[in-house]
Parts: sequence; C-alpha cells; structure tokens
Amino acid sequence: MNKATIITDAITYIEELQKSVEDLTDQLHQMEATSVAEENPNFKEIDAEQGMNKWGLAPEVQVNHIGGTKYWIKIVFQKKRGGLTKLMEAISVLGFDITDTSITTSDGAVLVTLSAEGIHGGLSEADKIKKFLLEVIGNI
Amino acid sequence: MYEESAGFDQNSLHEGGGLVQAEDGFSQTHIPNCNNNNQSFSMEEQSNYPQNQMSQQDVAFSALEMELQHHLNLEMEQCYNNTSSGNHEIQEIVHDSNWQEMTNFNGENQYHHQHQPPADYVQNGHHHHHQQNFTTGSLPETPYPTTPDLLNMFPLPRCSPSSLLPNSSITFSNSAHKSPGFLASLGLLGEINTSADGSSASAGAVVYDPLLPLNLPPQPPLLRELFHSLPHGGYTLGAPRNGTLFGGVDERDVNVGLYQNGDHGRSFDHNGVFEFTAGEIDCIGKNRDGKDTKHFATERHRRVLLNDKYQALRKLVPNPTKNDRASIVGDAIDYINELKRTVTELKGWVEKKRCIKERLKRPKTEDDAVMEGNESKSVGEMDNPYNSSSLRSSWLHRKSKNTEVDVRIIDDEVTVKLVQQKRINCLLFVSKVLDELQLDLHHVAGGLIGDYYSFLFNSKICEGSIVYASAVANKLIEVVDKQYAAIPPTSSY
Repeated sequence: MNKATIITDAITYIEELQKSVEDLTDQLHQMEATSVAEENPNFKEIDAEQGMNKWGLAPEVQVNHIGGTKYWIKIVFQKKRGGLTKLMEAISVLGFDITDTSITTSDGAVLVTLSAEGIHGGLSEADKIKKFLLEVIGNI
Repeated sequence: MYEESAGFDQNSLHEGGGLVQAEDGFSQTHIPNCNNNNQSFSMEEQSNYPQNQMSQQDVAFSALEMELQHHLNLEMEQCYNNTSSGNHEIQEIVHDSNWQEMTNFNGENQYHHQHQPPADYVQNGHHHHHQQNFTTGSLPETPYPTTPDLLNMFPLPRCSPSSLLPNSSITFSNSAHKSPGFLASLGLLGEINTSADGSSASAGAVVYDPLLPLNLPPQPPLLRELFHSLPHGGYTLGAPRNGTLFGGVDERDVNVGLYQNGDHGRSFDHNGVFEFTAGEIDCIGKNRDGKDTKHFATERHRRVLLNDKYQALRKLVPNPTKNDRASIVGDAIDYINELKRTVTELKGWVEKKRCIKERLKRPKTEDDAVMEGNESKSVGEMDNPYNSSSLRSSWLHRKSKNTEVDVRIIDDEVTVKLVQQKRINCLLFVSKVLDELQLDLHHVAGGLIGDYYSFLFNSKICEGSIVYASAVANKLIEVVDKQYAAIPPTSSY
C-alpha cells in the first residue's frame, strides 16, 4: 500500500461511513414519525410535585450580596420541563455574569446555586432581585 | 567547469578536497544539486542577475579554478574540523531528504533543503557556464535549470563571515558549516560569493547573491530531475559505474559508487574528502537524459494528484485543524473512528426501535399499569433484550473555533462538557437546546475560569426519544456558535 492508495481508500471509506450515517438517521426518523408521541415528561412532572411536597420543600429564593457587585443566589424550585431555561433567561435579563454555578436535581426539586457578578450594585438590589426571581419561579 | 574538468580535475585531485565529512550525504546532495541545474536554467536565462555572471565566469573561470584549488583545501579542512557534527547533519539531511520522499513532504524538509542550495547554486552556475562554453550536444531537451530558482527555493540565512576563511573566495550564505563544505567539496566552485556580505569577492567573484533574494518555493523533486539532465562533460567516471548510477536506486547508492571509485585517480586529502568533479556529475546525468523530462512530468503529475487527494480528505473532515499532511491524516483518523461509533450507535437505535415496534404489536397483558401506548412501550423496552444485554454508549468530540463540545452517551445518560470562550451566557442556550432534544437536565456544574466558560451537563434521555451523540453535539455547537457570532466581542467587565 502506498500513500496514494491509502489516502484514496480513506476518502472512500469516509464517504461510505457518512452515507450509512445518513441512511440510518433517515431510517430512524421514519421510525420515529410512525411511533407514538412521547408523554413521559408529564409523567415526571407529576412526580416532581409529589417529591417536593414530600420533603416539605417550597420554592424559595435567597440572594446574598457578597461584596462589590457579586451576589450569591440560591434557588429552589420544582422541576419542570423548560423550567431551567426560563430561569436562565431571567438571570440573563438581570444582566448577571455567572461566575460559577451548580445545579442539582433530586426528587423533583431543583436546587440552583450560583454566584454571579452583575452590573448593578448595592444591597437594595438584592431584595429586588429576590422578588424578581420569586416571580419567575412562580411562573415556571 | 565540468567541461574543463581536465585541467581542473587534476588540480582538485591534488587538493583532495571534495566530499566533506558527510561522504554519503555529500554525494546525495551533490547529485540533486546537479539536478537542479536543469530547473534553474531557464531562470538563469531571464535571470535577475544584475551582472552577467556568465561572462564573468568565462573570463575568470580558469583563474577561479586555480584559486578554488587553493581555497578548497583550506575550506575543506575548516569545514571538516568545524562540522564533525555537521557530518552527521549532512548525512542526516541527505538521508532525510531522500528525493523520493521529498515529493511527499514538500514543506517539511525545507530546512534540509537549505543546505542544498548553495551547492546547487554553484553547480548550476557552473553548469550553465559550461554549457555556454562547451556546447555539448548531450544537453538534454530540458533547458538548464535556473540557479536562481533553487536558491530562492530555500531561504538561505546569511553566512557569517567568521565561519569562513577570510581569504576564501567561496562564501556560502548558510548558517550551517555544511554548505561551505558541500560547495567546496563539489569542486565545482569557481569563485562563488553566495553571501550577501560579500566578504570574499576577490578574484572576479561570481556573485550568486542576486538570486538569493528571490524566494521561490521549494521544489525538491526538481532537484532530481535537474540532476538527471546534467550535461555531458569531461566525464571521469567509468562506464560501468554510470550504468549502476541510476539503477533506480537513490542517490546515496550512486554517490557511494562514485565516491568509492578510486580508479579515476582522485586523491583524498588527509581528511578523506572526496572531490566530486563536474564531469562526474555530468556523467551521472548522461544516461538518464532521454527519460528525464518524461519522469519530471509524470513525477510532477503524481505529486499534484497526491496533493489534491490530501486536500479532498481534508474537506471531508468536519473540523480540520492545520493544513499539513500529518494533521490531515490525524484528523481523518479521528473522524473515521467517530463515524464508526456513530454508525454503531444508530444501528443500535434502529434495532431497538424495531424491537419496540414488534413488541407493540403483541398486546401486553402482564402489566396492568399499561394504559397508554407509550407506557406499554416503556414496559416493552424493559423487557427488550437489547436493553438488558448491551449498553449503548457513544462519544463525540467536536471543536470549533471558540467552542469545544464533548458528548458522551451511556445508556440513557447524556453527559455534555462544554468549553467556550466567554462572551455569551451559554448556559441559557444550552439548556434551551437540551430541552429541544428532550433531555432531562439532572445536574449542571461549571463557571467562568479565566477567559472561558466551562460547563458540565448531566442529563437523562427522556424515555422514547431518540438521542444520538452526533445530533446532540452538532446541535449544541451550532447554536452556541451562532449566538457567539451574533454578539460582538465585549470588553471584559
């Protein structure tokens, strides 16, 4: 095998593989189209509410000001499809730059802790933020 | 000079100059040098030589030769003494620059080539010169190579005068000691002042410097062709040797043969330097004249084809990195492996789906909880032998200009690692994408590290949805990149 043939074979093989990937995806999509729609997420949402109630958790928000324009925010809310997205939208609306974050879920409850740096400053802001976030969670 | 070899040879023989330390190396470079002659010939014609070196050479040639002889030994000695390591380098260069290989690694041996040019230069000049003086009908159809071509092919660092003998008229613009050795050892040198500083420039120095500034791209294969089309001259080579010279063996063997031939009365100086005369070079080229042009053309054609293939391969790969051959091949390897994994994954999904459909056809009576088609499907999945026997796993890694995505799927868990240069709130977009893909986010961790956002997402695949790694990765990268591009760079907070 010389170099030219190796390269040529590689080209052919890659094209072959790409074609089979395409075929398989098409096949899969066809199968998907004929199958029944998925409703499991709803199933899980019911679970989520039950989970939160079980542990006596209620949606809550905690905003702490840690010097400068930094905040430490802790949010607990009920897990729902698209809930996190809405929360993230809210955070970005606030103009926060997320320094680090940790999100965990357990038993239908979502715990979000993040430390963010915002363009706003001051203690009074913290309260406003808290109210705003509570609203957001309520809407999720 | 080759044609005049009669007189010169004898002189040089006494000198015993010639092949520097790197005997093999020298011969190898030597031959290619000759090859270059053909190539650079045309260049010379139109040459940018400010001076008409040919005429200069004509006049000063015999004088040069004499002077050369004087300098040769000195040069040789110095070079020899200087470059015990140079020997190895030369040999290394020569070995490395196996001409057959050079076609394949155009850019990679550039460094090595650097050491060639001075010799080529000199030879070319001489050949050309000789051509004019002694029109040997043996000159092949191919025009003489242009020396300028070769010189410009390899960016030559200027030689520091200190490295050369003060009186030497042979200066080589080459940082390595080798080149002086080479050139000198060629025994072809007239007075060649290849260094820009013109340190020597005594007896009617033939100045090849003007050619140096021209920066032509390296064309190693040309060297070989050039060599093959050397003109005939005062051969001192024996006929049998000629026959073996180009038995399809690389120059090394050729040189060895030439080098070992003591029948021609070459004397070796105490350094064992072998002087290779132009005549010999001519002789070497002689036998190949007829086929050289054809070889050159086919060789070039072959190279062009190979390069095209490399480029075609590069286009197939989704995110090519560098443009050199090694990277292209490396990327291709990774991509092929990735494709194979994806194919396996997809096949698994198709298989699974098919089993599910089969199971759906059979009514489930064991499970009373079955109320909807989905749930029966999920039950069916649990019984599915596919689920129990094999663990679906796949892995994908995608890189784009400022984003890096790593997606791993194990059974029904999807883990995504995302590294992106800070500009946008990628968390938002990623969670949107994950929602679209029906992935249940279970855990996220990450934050800003230096200039980059780095996140890790752990999610579960919702039952019944088909998720495969490449889809996740592609979509993620697409979305994130789009957002990234949409926002102009902001100054740091």
